[in-house]
Amino acid sequence: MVSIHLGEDSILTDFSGFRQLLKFYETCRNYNNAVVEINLDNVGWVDGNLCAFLGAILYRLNKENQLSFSINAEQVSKKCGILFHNNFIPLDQNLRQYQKKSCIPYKGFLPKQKDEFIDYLENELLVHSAMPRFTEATKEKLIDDLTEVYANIDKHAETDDPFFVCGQHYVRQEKIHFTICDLGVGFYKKIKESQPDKISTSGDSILWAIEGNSTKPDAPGGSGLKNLHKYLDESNGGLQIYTGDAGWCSKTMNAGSIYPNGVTNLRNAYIGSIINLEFNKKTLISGKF
Amino acid sequence: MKISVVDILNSSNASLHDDGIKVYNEIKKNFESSQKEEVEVDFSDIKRCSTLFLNASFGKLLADFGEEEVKKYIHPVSYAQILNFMHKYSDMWDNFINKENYQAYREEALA
Repeated sequence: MVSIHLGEDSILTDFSGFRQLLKFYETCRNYNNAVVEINLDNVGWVDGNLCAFLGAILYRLNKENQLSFSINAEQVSKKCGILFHNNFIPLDQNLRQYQKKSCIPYKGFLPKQKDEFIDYLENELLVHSAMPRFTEATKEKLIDDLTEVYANIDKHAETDDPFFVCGQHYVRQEKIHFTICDLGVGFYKKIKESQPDKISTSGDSILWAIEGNSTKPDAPGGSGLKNLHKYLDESNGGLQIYTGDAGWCSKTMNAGSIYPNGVTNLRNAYIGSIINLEFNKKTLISGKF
Repeated sequence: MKISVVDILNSSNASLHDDGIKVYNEIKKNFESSQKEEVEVDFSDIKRCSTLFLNASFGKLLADFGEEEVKKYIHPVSYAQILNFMHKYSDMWDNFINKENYQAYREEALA
């Protein structure tokens, strides 16, 4: 058994958090046919919604490197109980005692499970007790836009592997984060094929996609990410996208030279894509959205 | 002639671009072989329908046959249960009218 640190600090839904998880992933990739102990010694906290990404990388490491994983239950209880609460580590006993209202359950869907994913959005995510009461029209719009994001996984990710979702309500900050993570080829490959002159990095491909562009050759599309960006931005929430070696955050778009156009380099690459939606509950319950 | 969307998709969600293309192919095949008989596109049992779906189905029919033909011969029916259906249908129509804004339509015209 090898012991690998999951991170060096608190693992939050930001560039630093994704960098830490990517570093864990890269370290694990050095091993084959082994049991990896996920070491939480240096970690004080893991954002619950990041289980979508953690689930995806563990799935890929199991598939490609034949790794299996163990984790110290006592450490999890003390530091990251959220991994029990959101069903990332399923429990057979005392399930009710562990489940928490602040968690939007961790789940995986195969790319062809369109109806199941829409059902999850409609009956678990958007009506979750942590969420504001959306109008039917807003709910409809969010489902359409998230379904378009899903459609891109189905159509462009070139994978039969599942994608993973998980959400978390951060009560004190009055925010809800919802993360979708797929194991496909990421943004760059398809967009580069479609726009060879305009795109030279993963960061370029993210910026191209959030402008509402689409690689669909035969009818308009591509507004899902653009609409989500607009909606979340206007309601003081945020959108983050990670693919390849690039991360982008709507909140850092105007940060100037530190994050040009909101993009940063992740130091390691993730072949796939991660989309994180941040809902600002305080603004949303004001009723304007 | 009536074409059932739920039968083509085997799903009550008409949401994806690919869903739209499946319905477009079926309507086009029937419309071309029927010598311009009216086609009713039946949305019974469809719970959800996206603009993306409509762009890829009716939008592509507009690109192929033009506004006059589609208005005259191809009609969506039984969509009352779908929230904002006509609003989305109008959006789709506007997308086509403003097609110069859309790379997909531009490239098709140039192909």
